Amino acid sequence: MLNDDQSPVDFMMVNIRIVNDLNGPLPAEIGYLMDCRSLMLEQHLRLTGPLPQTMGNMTGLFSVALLFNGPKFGGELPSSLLRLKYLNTIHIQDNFGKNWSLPSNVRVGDDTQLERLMLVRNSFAGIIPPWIAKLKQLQTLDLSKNNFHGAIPEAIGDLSSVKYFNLLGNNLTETIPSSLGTLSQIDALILGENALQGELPASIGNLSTLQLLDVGSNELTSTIPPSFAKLESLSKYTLFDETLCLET
Amino acid sequence: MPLLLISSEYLVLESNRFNGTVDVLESMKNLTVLLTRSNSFSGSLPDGLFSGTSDNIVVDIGDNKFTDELPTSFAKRSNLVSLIGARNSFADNATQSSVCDNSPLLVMDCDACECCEVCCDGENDGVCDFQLDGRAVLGLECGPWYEYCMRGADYFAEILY
Repeated sequence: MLNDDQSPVDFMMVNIRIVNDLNGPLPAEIGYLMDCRSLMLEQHLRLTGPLPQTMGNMTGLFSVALLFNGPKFGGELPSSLLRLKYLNTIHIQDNFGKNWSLPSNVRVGDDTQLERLMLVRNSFAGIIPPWIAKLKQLQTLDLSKNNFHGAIPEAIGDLSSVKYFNLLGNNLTETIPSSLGTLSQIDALILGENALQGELPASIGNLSTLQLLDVGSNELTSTIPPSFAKLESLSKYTLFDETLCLET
Repeated sequence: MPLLLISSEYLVLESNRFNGTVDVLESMKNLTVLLTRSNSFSGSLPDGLFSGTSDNIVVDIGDNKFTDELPTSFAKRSNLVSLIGARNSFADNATQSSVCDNSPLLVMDCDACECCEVCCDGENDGVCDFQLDGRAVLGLECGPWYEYCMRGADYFAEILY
């Protein structure tokens, strides 16, 4: 209907923002919304169940935001969602459900476009699955304030695009992987409020773009590595105008 | 307060079991926020600490084993807005009055400072219990809104909603 001979439309942009109080699970038929670009569900206190696997058919999907939804909404994220080729952002925050988890196996494609994976304050449990390290376009990884446990996977050093890395407030144990020292784009590394042990890896001194390191409230020992002398941030970040900032 | 990372460095090591000196931090010229509360760091603070930043310096090094006096250079740091140094082993009167003049919030053990701004001895054991909420200082509650802070609402609205 939008298409006519004078103005061809290659891609019809459809954004869905549902503001009714949805009751029950998301239907499998949501998968037919192949032109949907942005899906946002906010404050649906009676929404139930996990996200349907058919979301993997929403091939036009660019962003998913699930915020402040009810206590019976949650479950394992469909692996199909994480393999959507054009998906840029997954933002799941402050949902009250208790059974959120990440799938243990996802075959992440080489053409992944996911830049933001933000799962904040949702009671996500389980380990941080190694496939996360294959999201090579990821710039923001924020898993803060959940119940992730176990070790930070050594492969996490493969996230070569990551700028903001936040695992604050989980139950992570074992040592900080030295592979974090290869995150050459990173400017914030936040590992506070976990149960991490051992020493600070000397490799962190290689992170020449790093501006914030937070490892507070862990069980770390020994001294500050001499390599930290290299953490003199040479680049001046003048891209961001202070007046743009949200006052909270 | 939103998180703003503009040619500054923030180092949060609080509540661990770190030891040794902090001498290496003298090389981090843009260091602006240093939170090492509740560790076992020792030695004196290096004179060149915080020498390269013009942003407001926020420091909480309370509850460690630092000794000697505060660096004389601290008297020149007019941007040292907060220094929490209580529960350490600083020398008597380790804090010069010029540091007191500069720092709106200065918390030291009473014997290390003639002029401490706040000395709240909650446990009545002769040492100060005041703490900074470091993550509030950092605005880490900003969480995933970090990029929102960095790039502004228009950018985020475009990609998400």
